[in-house]
Amino acid sequence: MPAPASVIAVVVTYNRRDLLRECLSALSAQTRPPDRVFVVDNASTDGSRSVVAEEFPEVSVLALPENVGGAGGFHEGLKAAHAEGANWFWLMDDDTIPAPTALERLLDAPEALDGMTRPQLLASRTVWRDGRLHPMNEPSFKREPEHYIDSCERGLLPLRMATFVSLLVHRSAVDEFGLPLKYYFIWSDDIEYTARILRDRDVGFFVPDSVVEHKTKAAHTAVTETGGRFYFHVRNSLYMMRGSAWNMREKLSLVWALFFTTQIYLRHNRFGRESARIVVRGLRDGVKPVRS
Amino acid sequence: MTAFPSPGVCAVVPSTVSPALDDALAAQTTPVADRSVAAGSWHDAVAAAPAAEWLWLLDGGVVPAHDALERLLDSPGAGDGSLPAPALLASKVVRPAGDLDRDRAPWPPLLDRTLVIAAARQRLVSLRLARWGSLLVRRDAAQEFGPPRADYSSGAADLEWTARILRDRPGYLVPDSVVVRTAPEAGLTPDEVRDRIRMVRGDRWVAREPVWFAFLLAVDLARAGRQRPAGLPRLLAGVARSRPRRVSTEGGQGRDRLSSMAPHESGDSGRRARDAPL
Repeated sequence: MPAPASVIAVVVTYNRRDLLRECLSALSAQTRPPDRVFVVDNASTDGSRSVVAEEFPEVSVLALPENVGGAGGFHEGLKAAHAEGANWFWLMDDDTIPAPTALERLLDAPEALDGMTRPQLLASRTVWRDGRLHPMNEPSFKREPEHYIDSCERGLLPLRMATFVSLLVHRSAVDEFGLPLKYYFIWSDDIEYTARILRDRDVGFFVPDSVVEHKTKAAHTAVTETGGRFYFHVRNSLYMMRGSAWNMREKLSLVWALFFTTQIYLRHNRFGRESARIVVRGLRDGVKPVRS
Repeated sequence: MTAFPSPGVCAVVPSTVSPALDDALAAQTTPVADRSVAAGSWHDAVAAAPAAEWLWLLDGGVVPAHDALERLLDSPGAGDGSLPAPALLASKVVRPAGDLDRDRAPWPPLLDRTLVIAAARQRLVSLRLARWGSLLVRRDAAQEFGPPRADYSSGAADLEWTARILRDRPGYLVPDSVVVRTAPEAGLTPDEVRDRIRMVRGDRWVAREPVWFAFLLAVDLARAGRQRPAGLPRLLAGVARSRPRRVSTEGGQGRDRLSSMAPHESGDSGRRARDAPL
């Protein structure tokens, strides 16, 4: 019988003390708790760090000197966890509240696959407060028929990409593909990372029985509500088009998605100067050489 | 056509029943109550099917495993309440060597992830389109949507029919139910190309599905072109022949018990038989 997998949970937080408390409580209530928990604090100013120190003394805090965004937080957290030598890294934001069996079900998946393949990414089903599938975290599935049917037969679905809201990453994926790209700062860093790992290999699975709640204020962030952060959407979309995570056919979809969202954004802002400036800046930076 | 009194499952075969299929039907662990055999046409075979709760549409070139029907009927999707009740259940179609028959591979939905996930939890594959092979169709669905269209080639009539049925009603592939297809691979034909282009129109789709469907045809054409470059002009001729036409689906064994319950359809719109212009 193989040795039990060692799991380090990596939680990235920024100024959401109460949600972080709830997240850490849910982690400690797991039927199969993670062996260690790392909180990556993106230089929070709301006392998050003292909450961890006082209420969760067993949790390790990686205090970053400045806010490096979700991408930078997962980059640093995964690097630190990898150095600790665990087999699996369980990634999530501070507003992710795992159901008690979330990790146990994820760890059941390799057994369900029964030698079909050795998984490197396992994603939970992410729901919103009302139990619906969370629109921000809807996974994308591979559609190659044989692999698709084989996965369903085992109660799983084959991933093409997933988000960092309860994603279990195997150590071998980090060995082979490195870390998330910190220069993405926010948005699409998780999509790029998982798409890169899964582009040519069938090693990612969605585990429907593992459930987490993503406690965002709204179920969906409309393009029209992103404000200046729309810049990251534009820039990072171009980064992905230039990168190797997607094949040519998929990149055409990215072009279409960028075009579609940009026209919504501009129309909502009545083609105002500021919104146009954000889009142009995103486009300009997206084609510049990357500052890694 | 041989008639039996049982109301359970009626096997529907659009061609003569081969000895191997005959033996496989006789050996089913769940008995097949009746058969409807109409040489040459899915439309006629379905339209002529006698009353039964389920119609089991079997491609003449397949041989079902002895428990294929039992697995379909016992699957969680067949109506135990764990999933939305299906209009259609499909078996997995494999080649004699055991690998998946790619000509008969299922098409999962593009959009409805909730149902996709719910089905996977029950170890089923949610379907948006299904191919001929082994389809177990609820009779009420066949009544509501009418038989497969007679004016479509066999290679596209399954896509067209299931696109209509599965637009608003669920369907699942049951991986444990297996049939072996021994017939040689037909590949893409000009008539199928023509009919798949015709299918892009009409209201059998939701949201972005027509774009998706057209895109997949382009992919299939590219693949066929790579495999047999010399055959590509013939396939592309199917594109030129894709203008809509109106062909009555009546005739032959079409005047029968099932078809008398649903108006015939023609033309390229018409998701349900009752919506279609005559």
